[in-house]
Amino acid sequence: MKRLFLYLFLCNNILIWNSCNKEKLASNSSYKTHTIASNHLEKKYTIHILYPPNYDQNKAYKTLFLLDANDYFQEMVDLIQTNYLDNTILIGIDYNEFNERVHDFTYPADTRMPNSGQARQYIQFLNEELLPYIADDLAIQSSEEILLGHSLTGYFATYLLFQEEHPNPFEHIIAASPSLWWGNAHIFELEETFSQNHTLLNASFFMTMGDLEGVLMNTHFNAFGKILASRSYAASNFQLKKYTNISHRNSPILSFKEGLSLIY
Amino acid sequence: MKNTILFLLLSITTSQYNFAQSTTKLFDLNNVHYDVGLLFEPFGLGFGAIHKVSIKTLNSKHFEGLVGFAWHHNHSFKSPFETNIAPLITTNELSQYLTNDWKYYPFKKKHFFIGIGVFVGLTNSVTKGTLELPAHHITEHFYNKHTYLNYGAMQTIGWSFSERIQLSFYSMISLKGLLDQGRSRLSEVDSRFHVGINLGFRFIPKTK
Repeated sequence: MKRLFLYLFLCNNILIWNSCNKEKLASNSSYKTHTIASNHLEKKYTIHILYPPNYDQNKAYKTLFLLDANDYFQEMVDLIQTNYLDNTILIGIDYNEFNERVHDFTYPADTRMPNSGQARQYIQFLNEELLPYIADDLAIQSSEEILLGHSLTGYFATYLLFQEEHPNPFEHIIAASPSLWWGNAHIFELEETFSQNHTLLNASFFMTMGDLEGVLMNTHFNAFGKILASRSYAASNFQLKKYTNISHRNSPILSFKEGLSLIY
Repeated sequence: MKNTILFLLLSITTSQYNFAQSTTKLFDLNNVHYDVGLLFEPFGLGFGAIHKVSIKTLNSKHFEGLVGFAWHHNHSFKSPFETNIAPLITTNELSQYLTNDWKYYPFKKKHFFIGIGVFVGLTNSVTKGTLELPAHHITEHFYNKHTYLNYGAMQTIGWSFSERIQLSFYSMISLKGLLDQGRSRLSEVDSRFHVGINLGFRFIPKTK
């Protein structure tokens, strides 16, 4: 009886901890890893690059830039290999040491979160350090650049679209469940300023939210969506998608998959 | 799918074993337990209560098995970042579960025990609130109702003061992620993790 109980106790624990496991994914042996140091952010990043089979350095490919690669790169590899492998290069931006997404992907700073609010520097890192490294050092030719972000990185992707201080290098932006509440909903103020100077968005924009993501996320998403729809740049290529029975943890890959299907 | 089958098999076999080992009359008042517990969300902010009525189907020197029915209600507060959101509690959940618990008393006297259990049932979750951004003339309401099959595991550690009264600390985690291959995010609606304190009563009728 004691053995049975201990066996059940063990099974119970296995079940609990197994709930955090993700699906087994396709082999990831075909990607390469590089390290890049950023002077703007004073830290190093690890870059994972999935090349298509029969990669030709003389050919231009659609390049996907995935933020939060430490979390989603494996699943994106699976998605790319199932659907878009032939003409796509996946570039996952990961951290070399500590995950500092609150530091890198937010603006303005929040006094409750130390070292937050460095999104402007991250944009400079993308424009002046990472993209030149990809093009020059790795000699990757890009026909279109696509940015994918979820949650805080979804906020960053949205912020990048509407800020006017630095150029937006991406032709397409997919923002899954973006944290539009950040900085006392600063994105609303940013968008309002943008709308006074622009009649079109400077990238295609796909933004999503799950209905199980709570009041904070959904109300900001709904309000922001209504504002975008009312602007003169409503004719631009942007789409909003609300998912049913989808929580924050389930939205990213679903959003990326659907967003990419609109681009390809 | 494999994990779902494993979970269901575990639930079925333990409950069957529970009944098979019973050597007493099943619906005897001596075997009825009532538990009431306070629950807290260590990830996120929330509190709730759970009421459980169970029947002891196994009672040996070191082990007890119970099968029961529980009602669980939970209320989640908005986070400190939700300064523009009203009201204070934005998600309310009501759940009904079938439960199957096992308790192990490792010592001679049945005081200290550790326990494991499983629950399966339905959770009805209602989320509602309003965003106010006066600077942008925005008032945005949100309402969502979601009912789903909820199942998970419990672990307990406690003390029996007497035949009638037990006090225990326990954790309760929803394993819904097993079904949809999602990640567990322990503060989310369909992936909750609770810890709590529980008081158990056993109804022993007075002898004439």
